[in-house]
Amino acid sequence: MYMKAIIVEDEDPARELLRKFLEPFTDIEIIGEYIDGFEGAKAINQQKPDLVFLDIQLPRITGIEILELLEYSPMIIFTTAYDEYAIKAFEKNAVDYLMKPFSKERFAQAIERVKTRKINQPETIDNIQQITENLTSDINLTRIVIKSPKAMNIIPIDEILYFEAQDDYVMIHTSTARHMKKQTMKFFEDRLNPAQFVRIHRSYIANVNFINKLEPYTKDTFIAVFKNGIKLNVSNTGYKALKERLAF
Amino acid sequence: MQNPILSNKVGIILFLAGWVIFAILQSIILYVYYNLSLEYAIADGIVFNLVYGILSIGIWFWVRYTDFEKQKVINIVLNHIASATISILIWITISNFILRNIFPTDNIFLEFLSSAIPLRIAIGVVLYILTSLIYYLIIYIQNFREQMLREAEIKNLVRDAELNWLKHQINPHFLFNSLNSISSLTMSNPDKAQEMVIRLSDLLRYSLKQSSDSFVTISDEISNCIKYLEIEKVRFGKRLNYTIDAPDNVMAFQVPAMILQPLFENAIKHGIAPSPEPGEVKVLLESNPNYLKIILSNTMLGGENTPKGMGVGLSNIARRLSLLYAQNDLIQAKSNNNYFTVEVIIPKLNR
Repeated sequence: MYMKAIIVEDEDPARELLRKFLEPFTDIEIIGEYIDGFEGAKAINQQKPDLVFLDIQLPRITGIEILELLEYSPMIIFTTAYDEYAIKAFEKNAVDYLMKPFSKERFAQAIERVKTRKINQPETIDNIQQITENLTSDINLTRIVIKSPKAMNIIPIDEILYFEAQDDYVMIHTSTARHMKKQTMKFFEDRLNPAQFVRIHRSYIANVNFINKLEPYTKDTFIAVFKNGIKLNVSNTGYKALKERLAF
Repeated sequence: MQNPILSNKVGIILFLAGWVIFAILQSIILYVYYNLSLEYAIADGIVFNLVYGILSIGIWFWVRYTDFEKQKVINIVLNHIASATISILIWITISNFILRNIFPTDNIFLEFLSSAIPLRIAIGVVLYILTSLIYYLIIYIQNFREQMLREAEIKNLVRDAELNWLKHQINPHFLFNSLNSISSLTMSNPDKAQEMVIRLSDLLRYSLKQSSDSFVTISDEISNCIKYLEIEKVRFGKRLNYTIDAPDNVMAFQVPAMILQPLFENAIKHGIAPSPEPGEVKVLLESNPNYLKIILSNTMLGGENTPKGMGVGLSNIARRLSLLYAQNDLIQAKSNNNYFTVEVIIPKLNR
């Protein structure tokens, strides 16, 4: 059963180990090796391998973030040194995960699982979204990775002006661009620093660092004026939340 | 604080039992030695002890708010004399008033009540002292118990701190990645694998040997860090480049053990690991008669990862330094031109 594989791993000896362990499996061809998470994600989307060996701690973006950028669902074997991402959470979803250091036998087992999985149940994109949601549940986001038809972007949290709800998507506004991400407002609300981001309205989460002033609008509502002139509605609840966070 | 006697069942039972016994004793004594009729003896015993019983509840508050540690002994004694006088006065007046109203026509008993006043005063004083002593004893026992609990808690905290210290010394991420590198080298380059096992063992031995308050020379710290950096170099390859600039005259300087390695760990975590390009970590040591200055800088990944302050790693070092030297300004971090620089001042030990 011929399969193409990509390795995303930033340590030379670890890549070498994977290559060595893969030698006996002549039907698996390594079509690329990447040390940089961002480059790795791009390559996976372009070359569409069947199988990806993915480290979690990588330069630029993590292995978890790579999952968010993928346009399809390759089979993934995570290789990681330390169980800080509660890897058990996605045991069912990723094909396998290998805790470093791992034995040749354990590696062969993982490859067996890949082959069985390839025949039985191809993974779906929804599954991957589920994985990332589980994995990042208690992590304070510092950046957001977004794929668009044209490019992939890493957006630092500090550059975001506000999040806007748009049906099944969230529009992320920075001072220079807007990006659409398939995600819920709740997801971001739970994972952003509450001192910096406030849900000012059912449809908006605002970065308070960019709010210039609040103007009264109707009896119960206000308008938040941003430093670059953008104006957003603030609901009554949103006003209370702002007041609490900013202590004015 | 509530009166401890009334706050639990046993206290209330002992309290009532005590006063019932006093009442019975008093009645018997009056009946046997003072030839009062049984009716008067019992009435006298009940009334006087009932009234004192109620008053004694109030004495608690007097005892509670006189604190031997905070007030002068003379003030406390004066307080108690005043409180005793008032209590005894109220006690005798109310008791006599009640008994006079129960038996308004019996002259012999009324006469006895008047003549017994001096004796009542003496008994009142004894009862006052007894009551306050019991209260002081209760407070003492309560404080003792609290202190035992607090000491147990402190012991727990110290143990937790030690565990955290150990955990910090052996960074699991570093350890398992290094073991994985060794696993890989055993196939491709057994000699290098062996070298790395030995370095890793030395590193672990060094960190296990030290405790959170031990001191070593900076020269020991440097040779330990070189082992650490050489292991990291196997992992990161060309991406990690380091230089250590340490003049001979600093080498004997005494520093807290395991102070240098966390600085390098921090630099690698934030400067080397996140970047796919080769990076650099350099340390410069300077000393003068009063302190040693460690200046460590590392390249940063441009753009989104610019650190704003000190991360957890540096905060831990800052916390340790402030505990050891009682100074809060020994560590400073700044970033410019894609370099992140940490400056640490280690004061000279006077011993």
